[in-house]
Amino acid sequence: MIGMVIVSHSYWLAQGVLELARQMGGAEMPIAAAGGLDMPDHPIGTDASLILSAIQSVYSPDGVIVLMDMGSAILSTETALDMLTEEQRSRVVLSPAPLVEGAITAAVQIRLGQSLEAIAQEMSKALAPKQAQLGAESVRDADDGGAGLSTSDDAKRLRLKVPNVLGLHARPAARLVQTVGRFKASVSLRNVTTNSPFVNAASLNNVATLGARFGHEIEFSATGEQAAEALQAIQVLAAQNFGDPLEDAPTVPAGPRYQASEAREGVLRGLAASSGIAIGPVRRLERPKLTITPQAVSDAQAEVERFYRSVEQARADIAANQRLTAQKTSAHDAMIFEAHALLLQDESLLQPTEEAIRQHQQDAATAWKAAIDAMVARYRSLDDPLLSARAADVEDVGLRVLGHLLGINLDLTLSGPGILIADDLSPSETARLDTGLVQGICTAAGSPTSHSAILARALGIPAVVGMGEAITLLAPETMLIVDGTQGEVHVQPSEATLNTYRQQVEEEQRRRAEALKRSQQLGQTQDGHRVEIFANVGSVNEVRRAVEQGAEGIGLLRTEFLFLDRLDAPTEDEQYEAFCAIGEALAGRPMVIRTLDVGGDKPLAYVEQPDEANPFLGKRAIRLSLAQPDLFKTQLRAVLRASVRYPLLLMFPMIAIVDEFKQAVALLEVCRAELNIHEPRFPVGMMVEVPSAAIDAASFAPHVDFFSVGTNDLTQYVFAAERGNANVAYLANDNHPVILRLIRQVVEAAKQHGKWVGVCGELAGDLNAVQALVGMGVRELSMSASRIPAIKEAVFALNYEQSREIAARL
Amino acid sequence: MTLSRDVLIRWMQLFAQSIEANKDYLTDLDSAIGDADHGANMHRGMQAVLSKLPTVAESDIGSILKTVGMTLVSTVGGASGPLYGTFFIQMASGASNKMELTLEDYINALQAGINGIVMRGKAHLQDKTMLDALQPALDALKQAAESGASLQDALEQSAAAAAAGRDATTPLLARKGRASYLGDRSIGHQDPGATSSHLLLQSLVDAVKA
Repeated sequence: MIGMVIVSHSYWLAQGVLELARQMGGAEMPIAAAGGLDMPDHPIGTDASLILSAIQSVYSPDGVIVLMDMGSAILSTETALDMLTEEQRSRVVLSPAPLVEGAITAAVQIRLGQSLEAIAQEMSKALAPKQAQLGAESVRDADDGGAGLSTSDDAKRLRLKVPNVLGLHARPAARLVQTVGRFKASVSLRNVTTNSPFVNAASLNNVATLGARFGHEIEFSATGEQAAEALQAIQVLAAQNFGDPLEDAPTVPAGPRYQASEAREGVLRGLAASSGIAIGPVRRLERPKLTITPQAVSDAQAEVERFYRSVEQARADIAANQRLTAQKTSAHDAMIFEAHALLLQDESLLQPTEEAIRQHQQDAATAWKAAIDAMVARYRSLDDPLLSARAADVEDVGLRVLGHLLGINLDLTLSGPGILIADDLSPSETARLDTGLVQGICTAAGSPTSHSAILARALGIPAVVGMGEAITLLAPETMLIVDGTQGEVHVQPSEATLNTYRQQVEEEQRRRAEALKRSQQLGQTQDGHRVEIFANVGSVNEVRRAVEQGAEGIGLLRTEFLFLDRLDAPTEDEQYEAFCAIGEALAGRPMVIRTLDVGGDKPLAYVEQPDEANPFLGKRAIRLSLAQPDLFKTQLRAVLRASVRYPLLLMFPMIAIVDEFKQAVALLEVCRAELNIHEPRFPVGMMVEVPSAAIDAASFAPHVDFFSVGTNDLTQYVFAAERGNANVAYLANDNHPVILRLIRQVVEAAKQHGKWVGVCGELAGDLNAVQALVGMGVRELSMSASRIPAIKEAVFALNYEQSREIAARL
Repeated sequence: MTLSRDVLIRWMQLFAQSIEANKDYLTDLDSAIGDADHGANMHRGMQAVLSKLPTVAESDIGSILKTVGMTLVSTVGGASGPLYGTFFIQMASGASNKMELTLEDYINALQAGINGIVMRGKAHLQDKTMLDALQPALDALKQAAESGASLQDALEQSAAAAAAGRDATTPLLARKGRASYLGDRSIGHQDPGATSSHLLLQSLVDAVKA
């Protein structure tokens, strides 16, 4: 049973409140008073040791609610809390409710058997009846303080507008929860626009159900040691659109078309969820049935442990799904599963389950299902299609745990290639789909903004969702045309319709093929001077597209995708597997791996990074790597292992002095020795971004195998002007003669030592710069994949001799 | 020169004496802007500390400081109980198993103690609290150490900075504790907490000299 402690400066006051509360809470309610000092005449004052003994005398794992009067009562109670074990502390709630009203409210709620969280919430409204009776106007304010959360005057505040078009949906909410979790601070937030109460920013469900949509004003309130730091991090996160890419917006269709009736004969309509055309037979998706038979458990403790074991197993599944998705699509899309993992640690799901097991002897499956159903109902009740679509995420996570509790394998299989038909698809099911078999997707339920739809788009599988029951009644093997662009499905199409669509598919394919065909040729000028045209990529899934666009290799593999948006460092195996996946996709083409390039602007949860006033001039890139040799060596080892199987080159970012390069190479050699991998001796080079390296390239040239000029950072550092800063945009010109002359200088220094130079900044994809770069002797241009066809056309048209003259005159 | 256990014990004895001598003064200051209990509360706490000191006379410095802190949190009664208590408990955390403190040890301990006060009281500088005496004292101490001053000189400069910080609380508006209830009327009064904090640091100077 939950216990209560009354703390007051006055012994008599505490005793009196205790008596009042006892009246309401009954004789069996554990309650203790800690008033005055522990001396014979009970002097006025508060005593941390007395409070500590009072808490311990009523403590049980159910929890303890502490009410206190003011001033030192609060400080002494907090001091007492410091002396509890961490586990005990997590079960003690210090209530900001008024002493008498709060104690009465708590006593009633304890007697009703409510949860700690529910009681705290109820107590925050304890003043409302009195205020209403006395005609005070501040009842609304009392409500606003809601959920028993700290919103005192001491709290630091931050207000901002929701910047991302989709609002604080699961991924941004998950990022927010993770950010908050990194700091020693208790952070709450409310939606000012909807006048919501404050909710705990560490609870994904609370944040996601705030209904914070684009443009809404939200307010954060933080207390604790690192309150200011937490708010600062939130501000940074908000400035980064809460981690959402800006292009997320157009992927949401303007208005759902819910007339899922036959508009034409043989045609079913639904919602266009992922564009493209697929033709194939119906493949029904059958799920294992989960039957829960409620049964009373005798050993509640064992059942609770079994429950948490299943939660851990589900967490492992989710991590696997995340890796799978990151490999098939992108790290950003895989963030969906980060949100799933957070649901598995959300107290608003775990706590009711544990309580139902302990207090009502329910079996774990029944208890968990009830908690999930309640949360699903909460999401469904929200008047926001984006958020109500999150119900599917909660259900998905719920099923994962249930599967483990009931010992049922939830993985799906398809009997052959075709169109997958299902009532609905969960994100983890979508992630595990065999893209070799699933040509298209049709679902009866679902929405285009569901995570399944987002994943289908990322996987390039045409999909129509929200089709209604009719689609599930089709017999297996029925021929279908899925038009994911129009949101139509043709059932048993006539030969004529099939031909029309087949022609469409073929026409589309032919157009694309022709556009890309020239781009498949190796880059060279019209007079036969070879220029390598490579792609910059930042994730595994971009590689295939880069090759399609005509990339002859990867000139810059940004390895950050392996490190960002996660709570722990990637393992050597994980990195090795990612490099292998890229090497496989490149089919013999080379890749230039750049080691980790992060700094204070992109903090990693698992790396201690100093607070820096100017992270772009701080401990970033190679500086961070050399200071974190374990992190760095893990990456180098993965590179070395991949080098045995795939042609690769390695380069270090932000090298400013020769010694940094030497140190990095020395670590590489240490790893070589440790792994006993002595062949191949792949080329090891450096990025030229820091002006010192560009100006003094001749000193670096003897040590490196190649240079790669990162023109974006080089331009920023040379002009001392940040690219993103509109006030100095006139300086952010990477095609300035100063930059081009610096590159020429690097090329000349390299040539003297028989080394070569590539350019991997945006300048490499700039049609206005290509002649100068080729003319000065840059051997390799690496750019974003979409620039490749145009740049190749330009290179094909160049005359090398002319270009040299132009470059010489710079 | 270092701070031995004997010096620390003497420090506490002298602080108790100083509090006793200034009991009415502190209470007067507190009656202007608080609940008129600071002098009496601190006196009660330090008398309890005096009675506990013999039990730790043979212990390491961490235990001495921790005992002082634990005693204060349960005997002072007002906000200065958990605040001074946390101060000493946090000071103790880096001093366990130490039989003497170098100047550097003491700087670290004082820093830890002040961090504890900030964590507990959530006060900022210029909130008209004990922090306004302690933080300048720490800064002066660090500066003195950097310039190579002797332990005694450093402590003297630290206590002088505390006195200046104490004096500077007079024109401030109280933002913490009972005094903050007075709003503008708290301006023009010296903060009792900053006053006792200066006494604390001055007692250490006296203990070293004695």
